This record gives sequence, structure tokens and C-alpha cells, in this order.
Amino acid sequence: MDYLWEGLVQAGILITTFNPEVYQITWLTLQVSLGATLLASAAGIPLAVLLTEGAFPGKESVITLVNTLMALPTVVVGLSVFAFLSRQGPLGRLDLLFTPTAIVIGEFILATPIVVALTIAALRGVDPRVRETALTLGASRSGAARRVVLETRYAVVAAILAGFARVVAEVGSALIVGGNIRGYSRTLATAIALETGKGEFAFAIALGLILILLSLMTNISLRVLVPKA
Amino acid sequence: MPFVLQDVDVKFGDRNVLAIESLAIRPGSITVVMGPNGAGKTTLLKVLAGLTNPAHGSLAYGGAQITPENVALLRHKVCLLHQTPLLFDTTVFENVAFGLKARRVPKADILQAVMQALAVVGCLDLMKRRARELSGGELKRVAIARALALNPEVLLLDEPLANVDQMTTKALEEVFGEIEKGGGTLIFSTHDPRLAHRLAHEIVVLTDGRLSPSPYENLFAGRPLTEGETSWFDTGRVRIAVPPALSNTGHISIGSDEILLSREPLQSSARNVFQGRLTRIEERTKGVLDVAVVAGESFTVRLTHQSLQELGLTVGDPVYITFKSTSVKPL
Repeated sequence: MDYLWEGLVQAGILITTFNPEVYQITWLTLQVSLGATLLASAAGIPLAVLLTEGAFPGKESVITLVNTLMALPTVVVGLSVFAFLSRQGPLGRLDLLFTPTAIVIGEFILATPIVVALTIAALRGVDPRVRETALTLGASRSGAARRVVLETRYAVVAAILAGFARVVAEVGSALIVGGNIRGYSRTLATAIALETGKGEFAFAIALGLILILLSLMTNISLRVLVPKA
Repeated sequence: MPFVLQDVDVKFGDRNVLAIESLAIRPGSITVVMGPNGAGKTTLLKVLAGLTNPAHGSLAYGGAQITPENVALLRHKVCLLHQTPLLFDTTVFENVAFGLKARRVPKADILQAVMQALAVVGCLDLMKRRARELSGGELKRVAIARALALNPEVLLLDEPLANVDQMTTKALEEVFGEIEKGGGTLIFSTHDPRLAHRLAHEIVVLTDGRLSPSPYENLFAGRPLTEGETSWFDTGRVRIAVPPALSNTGHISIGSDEILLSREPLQSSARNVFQGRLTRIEERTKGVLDVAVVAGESFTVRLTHQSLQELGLTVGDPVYITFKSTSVKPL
């Protein structure tokens, strides 16, 4: 059991002495997971509004599909993105494989269904009078939709947080499409997997602690930042 | 005409909730939509507000057909106040300013309009409060102010006076006054006939989603009085013989089917015979006419086209109307 205790002490030292590698990995993780969550929200929330308010054939099937995609295995996403971005793939010429951008793409695919599905659930729970009231007061359709999203903002923020939680600690896709390249495309989760495998418990535990702290900080700051309007 | 509805059908699933052959609502008037719960009153208001799309049929406002493309223009002129209004989860100010911002009113004017509207309903001191913190009465008054701030051409109100406190009733009366003064049109629903008759210029009656021939034709306000053995109802212009049981009512109506029209006074058991002048002839449905006769009050008499032809009557002719006292119904 000594090595566990030793690992914790080492982790404390790595964090408090601002070990450059630890902070580089943390910074990259924050960038890719926040970037992916942001993109997933930008695409997912309007999509959820369309799927809630729109009337078109097959709408319920699309919603069922989105709900299913919430459970998409990360390695399958990694594999698909890899196939598209690899040299022989249709997007191979973009040279994105084993870059942070590739990680963002994979994580975007993982986070979007979660943001969409949970936002739909939130929007369906909104009092129908919100939309009607906005419309009768003269709001445009998009203005009314914006008001509906604002009325349910706590639930929508929860959907965004769930999307973030899905990607911040994600290993499968990030490992496959990011390549876990030291100092370039290594995230907290992929680094933990690697360091554990190498027996570098102190480093792995330090990264694990930071990962948990990161999630905590993100949750707290988003809660505080929820618009009051 | 601000509103003209033609063959309007609204369906919820397979159920027909509204089926209106033809309805016109005059501008600058107070129209009351009456009917029991579930008769389609709210649905009719939502159609007029441009919130519910009829399955088929046409809605015109100010002479222009309303389509999904231009319904936004209608919504800038017409505002609906729900029976239980909803305030957005923000401040009172933002709520009242919402419609003004949607109309891109300059910022300085918004503040002024919001303050003015809140002052009318006596809620100026609530401006900075959050909507969720208001009491039920305050909420309703703020919702009224929110509609009033937009100065709509037509204000639609769903059961505005149901379950409201005294202050809200007062605020509503202020609003009614403001709208009327500005030449606006008020349309509200109620299931309270007394309220309808106190305020309305026109009454639309809905039953099971259809327009009913109003059970309140030839509607008169007045007071009952008794002289000896005879009971009367005095409208101030005419005295109508009524059954003794009617000694308690302030409103009566007489079915237009139950009034006879003639050139000469009829010899009959009917107690009410009035001389008057035929002032208007309108086709109600195919072959059936509504004829207006002014005999102190204005009476509507329904008869077939053929009957009128046989009588040889036309607008301006002197006529007699006759009806039994038992045809007079209290409200």
C-alpha cells in the first residue's frame, strides 16, 4: 500500500511545484474538451429547438436515434473519425490525424447527442404558454425559441455540463485519433492510461486529481455564470 | 372590419374543436365570446391572436388575408392575455419591455412606456422585482401592463375577470377604458352572461365549437315593475309585458323566431304589440332573413324570404310586431 501513499505525496509535489508537463497536459485537456463542448452546444441547442418545435415526418425516429447516440461507444467514434482522417480516408488531405483538432472532432461527436437529447427533454418540459406568450407579445419565431431556452436555462446548462462530463475524461476516442503524443496531443485521461501502464503511479494520481478538480471548477463556474435574464 | 373569419376549422387530432362558418368583428367595439367550458372560446381567441393555425378556412385582418408568412404582422397588432398569464422568469421590467424590444422600440422610449403601463395597473413599485416573487394578483396586473404597453389595436382577453381580486378588476377596467378611448377593439371570453351584457357591444356564443344562434337576441336591460295584476319590464323606451315570474331580472331576451311581423295590428292573445318601422333587411342563411324593426327599442325579427315577399314589405315601411309575454326570457 506504500506506493499509493507515495503516489499521493508525489502528486502533491507535482501539482504545487507547477510541473510544466502536468500543466501542459491540463491546459490541452481544458482546451479540447471546452472547445468540443462549446461546438456541441452551438450545434446541439438549436438542433434540439428544431426537433422540439418542428413538425416533419420521422421526427420521433430522429429523436430516438439521438437518444441512442448518447450511448455511442467512444472507441467506435474514435475508429470512425480515424477512418475519415487517416491518409487513405476521405479527409486525409487535411492532415488532422493525431492533432488536438482531431480530438475535438471526436469529442464533438460524443458530446452533441447528449446536449441535444437532454435539451429536448428540458424543452419538452417547458410550459407551452412561454412560447405563446412570447409570440403574442410580438416576438419572431426565433425570438420565442430563444425565450423558451432562457426559461429552461438551468436544465440546458445541465445538458451542457453532461456533454462536458462525457468528453473531459474520455480516453477511447482521444487515444485513437489524438495519438497520445507527448507535449502535443496528450490529454489528462490518455496520459493517466499511459502512466498507469508504465507504473508511474505518482504522475497518474496527480493527473487524476487534477481531472477531478477540473470537473469541479467547470461545474462551479458554469453554475455561477448562468444568465439571470 | 378588423376580423373576418370564413369557414374556419380547428382540429386537435381528430376532434373538431372549432368550426366557424362566418364571423366578423367590428373595429372599436367590445365583443364578448360566451359559452360553457370546452366550447372553444380559448381556441377562437388563439386563432384571432395568430397563435393557432386553422386546419382550413381563412382569417382576414383589416382586409388582408392572414397566412403563415404574414402572421407576424398580425401579432404586432393583436395581443392575447391568457386566463392564467405567464410571466417570464426575469424581472418585471424585462417582462413588460419584452414586446417593445421585439418591436425594436428605442431604449429610452421603452423605459417610459414600461413605467407608464405599470403605473396604470398600480405596479410601478414592482419594476425591479423578479416575476417569480410576485403574488397572484400582482402577476396578473403585470401581465395586463405588459399587454397594455404594446398599445395593441386589438386586445384579446381569455376570461379576464375570472378569479381576480378587486385591484386587478380595477386595473382591467382602466385598461378597457384606455383601449376604448384609443379606438381599439376588445374581445374577451367569459361564461358569465351578466358580465357579457354589462360590457359587450356584440356577443358571440359558442357551443361545441360552433357559433350558436345567440340565445340572447333582442336583449334588453331595464327594470321589472308590477302594476296591479300585470308584470312589466321597462327598458326606458318600451314597456314589455312579461310573466309574473320575471320580477327579479335586470336583463331579458326575446327569441327573434318568436316575434311576428305584420302590416296591421294582429288580433290575438299576445300581450305585446308594438308599432314601428322596418329599418334593415339582412339575409341570415339561405332563404331566411333577419329584419330590424325600430319600435322604441330595436328588435330583430326572423322570417323567411317568402313571408316577407308575401307581406310586400320593404325598408322604411311602417309595421307591427307581436309576441307573447311568455316569449320573454330572463337572463
